[in-house]
Amino acid sequence: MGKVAARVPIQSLILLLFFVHATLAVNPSAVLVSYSFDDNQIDSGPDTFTIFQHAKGTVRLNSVYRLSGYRSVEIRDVAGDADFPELQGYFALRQEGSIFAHFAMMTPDPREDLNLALAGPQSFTKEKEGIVFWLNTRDGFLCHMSDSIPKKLFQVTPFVWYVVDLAYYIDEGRYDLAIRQEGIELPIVALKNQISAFHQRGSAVDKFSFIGDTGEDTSNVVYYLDDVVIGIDRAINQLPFVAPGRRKLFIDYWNEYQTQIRQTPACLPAQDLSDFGLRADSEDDEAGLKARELWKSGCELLASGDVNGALSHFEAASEVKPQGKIYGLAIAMALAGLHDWDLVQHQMNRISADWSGDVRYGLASAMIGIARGDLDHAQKVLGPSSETDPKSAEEYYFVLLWKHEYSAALQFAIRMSEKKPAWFEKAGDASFFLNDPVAALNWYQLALDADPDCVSVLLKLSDVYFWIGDLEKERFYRESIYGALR
Amino acid sequence: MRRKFLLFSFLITLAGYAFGGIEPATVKTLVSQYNAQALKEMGPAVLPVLVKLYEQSSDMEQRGNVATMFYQLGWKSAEAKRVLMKDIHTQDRLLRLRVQYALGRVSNDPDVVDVLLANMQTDPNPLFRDKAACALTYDQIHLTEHQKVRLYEGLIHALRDAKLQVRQIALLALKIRTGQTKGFSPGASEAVRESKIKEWEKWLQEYRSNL
Repeated sequence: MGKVAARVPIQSLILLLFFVHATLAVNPSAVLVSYSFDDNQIDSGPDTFTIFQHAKGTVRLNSVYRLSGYRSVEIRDVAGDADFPELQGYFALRQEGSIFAHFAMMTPDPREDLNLALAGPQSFTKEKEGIVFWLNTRDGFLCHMSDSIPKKLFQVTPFVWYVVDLAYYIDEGRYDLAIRQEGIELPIVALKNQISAFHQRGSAVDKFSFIGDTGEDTSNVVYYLDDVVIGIDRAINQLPFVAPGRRKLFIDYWNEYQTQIRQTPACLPAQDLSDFGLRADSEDDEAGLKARELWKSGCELLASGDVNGALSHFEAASEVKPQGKIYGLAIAMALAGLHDWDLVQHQMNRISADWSGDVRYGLASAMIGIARGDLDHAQKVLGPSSETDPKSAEEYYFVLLWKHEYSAALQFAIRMSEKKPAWFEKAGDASFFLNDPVAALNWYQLALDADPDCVSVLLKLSDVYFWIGDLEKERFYRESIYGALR
Repeated sequence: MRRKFLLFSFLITLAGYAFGGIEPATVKTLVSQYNAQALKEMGPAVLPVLVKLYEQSSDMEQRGNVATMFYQLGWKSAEAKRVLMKDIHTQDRLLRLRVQYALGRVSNDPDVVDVLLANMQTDPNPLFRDKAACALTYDQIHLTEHQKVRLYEGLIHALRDAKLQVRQIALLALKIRTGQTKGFSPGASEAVRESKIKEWEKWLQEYRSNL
């Protein structure tokens, strides 16, 4: 943070993070910045943040670990790369009154250093209008800097979400700090009237920052942030830890996408830049940006009924940026619009490995099935061949889900699982749709027995335990996912 | 003749192995070029070679260059500290400054902070006092939190020094390290200064209690 002046920000391909109004009785006009990291649109929004990502460290969206919604942001530092990644957000200068901040954080390894701070126009210095609030981890402990003294708060537990609520009083140069830990009702930290980081009264603020280490270049920290809200309304500090149902599960993806897309082949929504083969620092990736524009134009053509035009756009995009997996799926959708079923099948077979665990592939399969004719016809057509033809089987299963025939989908998945263990997961999914967590757990466990490192199954187990309120088991699977990903 | 040549070659090779295969002549050249990056790439095995070069050199400038390399490498080394400490009171201006800067970069031993605090307060040369304060401010990079308390204790003690300059540089060191002055004014009356020193000491007590 102390070297900001020497670092060049990567702008505007941080097109993932959006200005979202906070909920639950917070006056929207009192919110200065709010990041839920869950918006589906990835076009540019208000320019309220910057990502620094020049060396090996990264800042990116993550859909595996999230406190609420679908995504959080992951900050990953790498020791010895002569730099540090940073998510830096800014807002209109506040020179008097109070600032309230609310955010959640989680790290798999608290022994690695992380730092976050609220600061003013003098940036991340010890001067007046520099840092006013500074939280960091040292040797596994969360610490805050108050009156130039590093003070330990508590030993951080890996994979546990902590929600931080800060009220900073600008004129007095003091703050209240409350930290809550998931699964525990009362705050584990409740400090009042703390002297600001370097005891500067009247120190204005206009930015916040989340980084790895502060330049020692020794940290390999990975940590996650969610639900960042900063504003001038005290109600921000009263945002719930996790609102009931706020954390989105994989079936929520299915249900929400299903309501958004029509029953005729259409572009499926992109989730983040990786769908286009882009990174957050891809502002110089002209080919990538061009491909994305081709896709967008193609989607408009598809929606307007110009299927041939759409197809040529999608093929051009795929040629320009083959790493963009969404282009392959869009090609399949366009081919479905042309009713070229052999080519559709070939295309879906070709791209299926890229979409493992992604609910959008299932949706696409359902849409294709529907495009073949009406749903009942699709069911009739697919039904007899489905148990012998793997791709037909998938399409048939997703058509059943689309029609909300969950019991039929479950029975079908069970029959298929007798031949292929990969169908245990689908049986679990259908059970989940049937609101039967016990059955879902059993089927997912069978899937895990067949493939112990299957991340999608680990994620769903985590979701089921969250759903039934077993946070300990949910955390266990969070850790298992981390182990499987390393 | 041939035997002498073979013996000479053997001894040179042995010396090379003694220094981990690092050629002293190469190190000497890199030092003269201020090429810390190349020395860094040789790894910590270069440290004994640098120590030897420092110790055997009667050229103050060359010693100063080696001290600068110790500074830029920032690696702890008991031997580097040993040789640098021999020159902590040298009257050679350039060497003295470089030694004062480098010591905290090779060691966090208590006597390093102690000798710099002493130089800051008692050296007859105001330039050396000033640069000792700089070293205490910027270059004690290996200190643990407990060791920082000793450093702060020494700086706060120096706020009571009879010399105005010492009080000024001690305050500046505290300000840069902590962001605060606690209202201490080096030129104020003794009574006023003392009340602010008491605030610093109270602060230090709280710092200590948070360890």
